[in-house]
Amino acid sequence: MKLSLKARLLWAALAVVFALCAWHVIGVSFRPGAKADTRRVVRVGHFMLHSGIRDALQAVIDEYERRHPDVHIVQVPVPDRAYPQFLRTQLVAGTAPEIMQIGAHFTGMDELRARYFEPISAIVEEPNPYNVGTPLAGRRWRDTFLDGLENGEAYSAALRHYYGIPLAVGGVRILYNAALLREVTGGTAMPRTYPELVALCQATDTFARREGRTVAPFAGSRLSALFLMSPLFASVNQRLYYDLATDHTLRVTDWDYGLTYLQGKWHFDLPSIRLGYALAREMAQYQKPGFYQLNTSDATLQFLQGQSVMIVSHVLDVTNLKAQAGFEILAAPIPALTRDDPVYGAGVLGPVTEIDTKAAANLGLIRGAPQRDAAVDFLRFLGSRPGMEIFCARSNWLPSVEGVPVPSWMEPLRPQQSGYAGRFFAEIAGRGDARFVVGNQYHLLFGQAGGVDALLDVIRESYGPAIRADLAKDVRESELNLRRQEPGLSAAYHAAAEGFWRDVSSQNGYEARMLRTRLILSQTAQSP
Amino acid sequence: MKGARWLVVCLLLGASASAAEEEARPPTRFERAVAVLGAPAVSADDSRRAKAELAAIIAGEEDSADASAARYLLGRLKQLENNEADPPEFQALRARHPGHPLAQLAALKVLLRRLYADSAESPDDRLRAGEELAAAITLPALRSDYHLAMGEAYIFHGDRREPALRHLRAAAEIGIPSAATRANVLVQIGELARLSGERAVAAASYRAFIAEFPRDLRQQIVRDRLADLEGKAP
Repeated sequence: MKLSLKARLLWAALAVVFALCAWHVIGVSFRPGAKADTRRVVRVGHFMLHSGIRDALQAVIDEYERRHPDVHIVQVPVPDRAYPQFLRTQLVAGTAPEIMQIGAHFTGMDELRARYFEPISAIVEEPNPYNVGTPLAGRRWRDTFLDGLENGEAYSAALRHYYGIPLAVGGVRILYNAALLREVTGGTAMPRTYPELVALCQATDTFARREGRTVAPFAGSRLSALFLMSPLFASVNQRLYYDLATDHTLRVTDWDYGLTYLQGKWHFDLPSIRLGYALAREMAQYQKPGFYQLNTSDATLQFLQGQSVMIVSHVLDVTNLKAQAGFEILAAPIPALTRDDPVYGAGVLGPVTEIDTKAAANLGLIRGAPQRDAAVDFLRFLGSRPGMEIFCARSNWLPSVEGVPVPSWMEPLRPQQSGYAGRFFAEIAGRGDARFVVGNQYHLLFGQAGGVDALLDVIRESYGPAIRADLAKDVRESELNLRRQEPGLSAAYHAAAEGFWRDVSSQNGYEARMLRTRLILSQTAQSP
Repeated sequence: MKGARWLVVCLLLGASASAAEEEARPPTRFERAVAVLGAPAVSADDSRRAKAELAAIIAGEEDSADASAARYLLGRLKQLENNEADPPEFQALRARHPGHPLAQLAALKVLLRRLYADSAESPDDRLRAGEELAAAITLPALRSDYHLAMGEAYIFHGDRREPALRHLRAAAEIGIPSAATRANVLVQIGELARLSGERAVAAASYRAFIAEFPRDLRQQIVRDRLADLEGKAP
């Protein structure tokens, strides 16, 4: 076979290109001092772009890499607005980092966890080797976290598995401008009871009128107002809360609020519910007008400009606020209602406990991650006492691990241990349709011409159908989750896998709850 | 040279025959079917073929361990996909091997559906059926789940405190793998015993809860209950 001149030229050109490429590769490979990076790479995708947090995480990474020179940890920070899309697309494409931050509030998070995240239940049942030499040595890793990993990001109640390792403890506090408080009251003592809080709010209004200054008691936004109202509303309804736990667990789950409503065990005209809304309206008077339309950054700006004495904020935002403020910021808990309160005391048992305050910023392990073992080991270090000491010192976040010291100014941020249940307000609103049905009508409660009746006249009609839709959706999702679990369970049984019966037990409890809910929905189909 | 060629051909044929043999073995077929059914996006055709594979395993060797596993999975999929409370595969599994762990699990799954079925059957009949199942479930891991299911069902169907307490205490004694469930059960035992006048049982259960779950939201209210029982001001 004889090649044409054109073909010979083409082959010659290809040979030249190949030779050049080979020469380049050889040159790069044998360059003096050149060394291929053979370290195993673990990527960590997250949306913790808060001031100082990436540096804090990098400090932990630096220490980890010093201990493990064969591993390279790379942060992949993503803005929080883009993160849910980033998470989903990376997971579906199979290109996700080995470790990714979990957001329990993301749409379909349980589905994502079921499909793409590796359950770490077995891992967190074992002691963390990085806690050796600390007071936490030998303890089950899960128990070394302040919340025992019982938060919605670390633990999926639907899937009955642990998925995440948290970096900080959450919670809500009143932050106050100490200098401005001194101007208003002559001191820096914060109110300890609800009547004292109302008195401070009134004193602030009087001060603003007298001085002709724009100063409100609270920097108002939708979220910060709800942070303030939620525990107070819950206090007024504490006795009702325990009455609703008809399964004798002294606990009302997310599902139970809706189910007990459909069963007629509570309604919006109960005295304590009406009182709770009246209290929320009272607190609304001390927010900036129009607060319910404002977002957190509006409230932050108002507070930082000295236009309010207080702001109710998530403790994870404290670091940011302190970095930006030109005045001293101190923290205090939201004042408690007491049983002897002449207006609101009838349903009150006592302060709201924060003993189950949830940890936040949870990092999870991706199923089938190429560097799975290194990723697990890094999570162990990050979630150990030595790792958390490094992280906390840089981030100023409350540590998620027991026994990690914090600076004195952070002490009031620590969760209140004793007390009673306190999330009624947030949880009756449900998580789906009902949340919008209730939440979107609060302008009727807070508006000048509004009130408790104006709100209840609307939600009394719309809440039942909305909560029913939410529960029916939960049932459908649970059925799908059960279906998804089944082949995996069969495979585990067939392989005589450890933990099979534990998983079966979890599934049985989950399934019973789903079946009960389905039956109650059917039994109450005719109720409003 | 010719001999070497034949040797290579024979080796290749032998390897492909043993691979085909391995592929045809029931455990491999079961694992293949499970992998297909567990895929995130399984098509209707693939699902049908995988279920046919499971049915073929059952038909091929009716009493093997693989056949039992296939029966359980097929029955379970019928429960979950078609809402069949007691599929034929479960019935066959229970009839052929009543003591098999999966037969016991199938029995429990059927009971759960019956306890909360949207049917005209009276609560008394449902609960009686549950009591009759007690002897059939012998595996400790499942006995605990069985007692939990019965305890919760007695509460659900009219707050029948005495039998609920009996079952929940039995579950706690056997052992409950989930910490969250154990916490609930300790509180339930305390509450049910308190309401039934069994003060010592209630106090012991409250104390166990306080000691075992120091971070639980219910610490204070349980401490109050215990103080009430012991005649102390909370």
